This record gives sequence, structure tokens and C-alpha cells, in this order.
Amino acid sequence: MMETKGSRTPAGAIEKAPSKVGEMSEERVLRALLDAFPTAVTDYKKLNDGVIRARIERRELYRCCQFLRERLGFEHVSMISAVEYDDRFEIVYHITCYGSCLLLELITQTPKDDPSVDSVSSVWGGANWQERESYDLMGIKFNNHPKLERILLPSDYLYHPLRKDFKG
Amino acid sequence: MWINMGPQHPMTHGLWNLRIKVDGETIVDAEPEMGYLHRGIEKLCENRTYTQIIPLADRLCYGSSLTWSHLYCLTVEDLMGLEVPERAEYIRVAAIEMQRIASHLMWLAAYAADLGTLVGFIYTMRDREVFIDLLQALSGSRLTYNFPRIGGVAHDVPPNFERDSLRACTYMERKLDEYEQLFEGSKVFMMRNEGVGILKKELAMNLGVTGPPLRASGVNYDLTRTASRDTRSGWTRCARAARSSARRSRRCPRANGG
Repeated sequence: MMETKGSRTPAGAIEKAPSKVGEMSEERVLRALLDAFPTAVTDYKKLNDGVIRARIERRELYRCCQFLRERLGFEHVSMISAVEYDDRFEIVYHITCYGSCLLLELITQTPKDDPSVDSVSSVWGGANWQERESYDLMGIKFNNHPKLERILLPSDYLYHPLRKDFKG
Repeated sequence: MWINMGPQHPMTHGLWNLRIKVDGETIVDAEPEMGYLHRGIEKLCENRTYTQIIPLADRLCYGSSLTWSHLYCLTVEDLMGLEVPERAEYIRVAAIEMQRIASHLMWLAAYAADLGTLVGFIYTMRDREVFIDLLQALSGSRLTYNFPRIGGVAHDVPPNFERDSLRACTYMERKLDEYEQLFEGSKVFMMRNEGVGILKKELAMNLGVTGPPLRASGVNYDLTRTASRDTRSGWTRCARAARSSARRSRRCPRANGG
């Protein structure tokens, strides 16, 4: 439809991307994670082509992220987000490996009475503002964060508005 | 010395405050403060149905609103395990690619105006109109389209849409040469771009830079190609070694089809 002359794929011969995995497959990443953190990694699985999900105990989160960046080449954290459940908070990290086009969804959980986790902004600079957003809207404390201040709401605001107990 | 730039300032496209530390004419440090435009969309979404969120997603960025509502619909489709009909997928891709051209033109317009080449602003805004007209014919609106739906699009393309789109593309292709002459021949533009704003590959990756700036830093990674399940998965993009702002604003050689 948008075809002009050029080198784009002809409209008739659209093909889905070939397997996006380079040298490192989903299985190899999971295997490496399990070998390095045998007790901390739980509930891991391949969700989709190129998408993996793993849960990690929060005490090992920082070391796990360092391991992911330095050993497995996950250079890019595209999203950090917090989710509130009845009995816990979950913090979700989307970490991408450019080389083999893998997306790792790393989930860690914190109890309700102590919503804190180690900051990974010294591993990925891009995590800095994302963590501030989670702090601002959901009230998660990120230990050792260089500047854990509100990012969207005014600094004198009293609440974390995405929490379930927030009454607007 | 620290200076406040914004929140109300003709240079800030959207309200935000940049506290800048200057040493003479050189900026040596900066501290951004955003949130002036935070409208709490994530909170608004909490008590709306999935369909009602599409217009909200449109308003995440008025420069490329179609892309955002498209992304939102993709997410819901993912969660629900929905398949989109092939024709709807083509309409979506055609529309968001036009949106992308319009969005890039608006970027160029704003950038040119900031750097003091106002003629660049006039030219690019004029040519953006061609694509906005097409999107208006398609959806009825000019800025926030509310066009994608969960599982497809709102309606079929209008009559002669294919012909008009092809005309617009041919028109734009000719205009690209004009832009190249306009900007690269402009001393004001080049003086403020050449050799500044170099973002190294490692830093760009570590900071989570995406899209054209990432490719301009030399990382050949494109989400529309690697993560999309639509018709764009076979396209090629170009990446360059870490370059200055001037190189970043330069288009790809045509052979790359980018």
C-alpha cells in the first residue's frame, strides 16, 4: 500500500520475521540465570518467540541485573513498573538484549509493609527516571538510588496516587 | 550560574523546566524538571473500559497520536489473544507510517525554528499538511484520530486513498532533496549542529535511548522490525556510527530504504 519504488519488501511477499534469536536462545539465557542464581530464580518460562519471563527474589535483584548486563549482554532496560496486588507489590523490569533481540521480563516482589528494592540505576542509567516514576506514583523505595525524588507530581504532594488505598 | 529555562519559554515545546548551569556561553550542567504536562492518564485509565482508553492513548503525544493508540490496541490484542484481519493490518501500517512522516516533519519544523532557520519551519509544516490531509480523509480528524480499534480499525479507507497516498509519497520524495539543500546549505543550521551533541554507542544503550537517535549512535536496532508482528518486519533500516546532531538529522541513503 505504501509501496514506492525502492528496496522494501514487495507487498505481496510479506514474510514474518525469521527467528529473531541470534547466538543466544531463550533456553540458554534461562539456563545461565539458573546456574548463577539457583535459589533466587523462580517461575521462569519462555512466553513467546524472543520473550522470557523470570521471577527473582529481591535480595538477589541487583546482582542478577549486573550479571544480565555484564555476562549476557542485556544492555537496555526499556521499562520498570510497579504493580499492586492484595498481598504484595510486584516490580517488573523489561530488559532487552540488542544482539540477540531477546526481551526478558524480570519480576521481583516486595511485601506490602516494606515496599523497597535495590536500585539498578547504577547498572543501567535509563533505570534512573523509571524508578523515580515508580516511587512517585506507587511509593516503591529504591535503595541506593542517586536521587529518589518525585518526578511527575509536585514535591510537596503527600500521596502515591496509583495505590489502591488512594482516595482521590 | 544556574538559570531557569521554562516552564514557560518559547523554546520549550510543551511545558517543562530545565535548570541549566552555565559557564559563560557554555551549558555545563542541567537539571530537568518535568511533570507540568502530567495529566494522570494512567489514573484515568483505571475506571474506564478498554475501548474508552483509545482516545486517551491518542493524547499521549499529539505529534504521533495514531502510533500511540495503535500501540495501545496492540497491547490489548496481545492480552486477549486477538488476531487482526490482514486488510486492517495494512490500513494500520499505512496510516502509522504516514503519521510517522508527519511527526518527523513536525520535529524538523520545530528544530529548524529553534535553530533560527524559520524557512525550514514553513516548508516542513507545509509538507506535513499533505499527510495530515490524508489522515483526515482516513479518520475524519487532523490531530488525534481515534482511528484504531481493538481488533482492527474504525472503518475502511476512503475512495482513491491508494492513489492519493502514492502521490503524497512521490511528492515527499522530491521534497527530501529540497530539504537536504535547505538545511545543509544553511550556515546557521550547520554551525549549531556540526560536531556537537555526540552520543556514544555505549552511553546511548545504557541510557535507554531508542529509535532514530539510537541508530544514529550506531546501534542497528529497530523495534518496528524486530518486535512487530505486522507487515513491516522485513524492512531495512540504517545505522551510523556515533555522530553529531547534524549527522543525526540527516536522512539515510536511499539504497537502504530507510
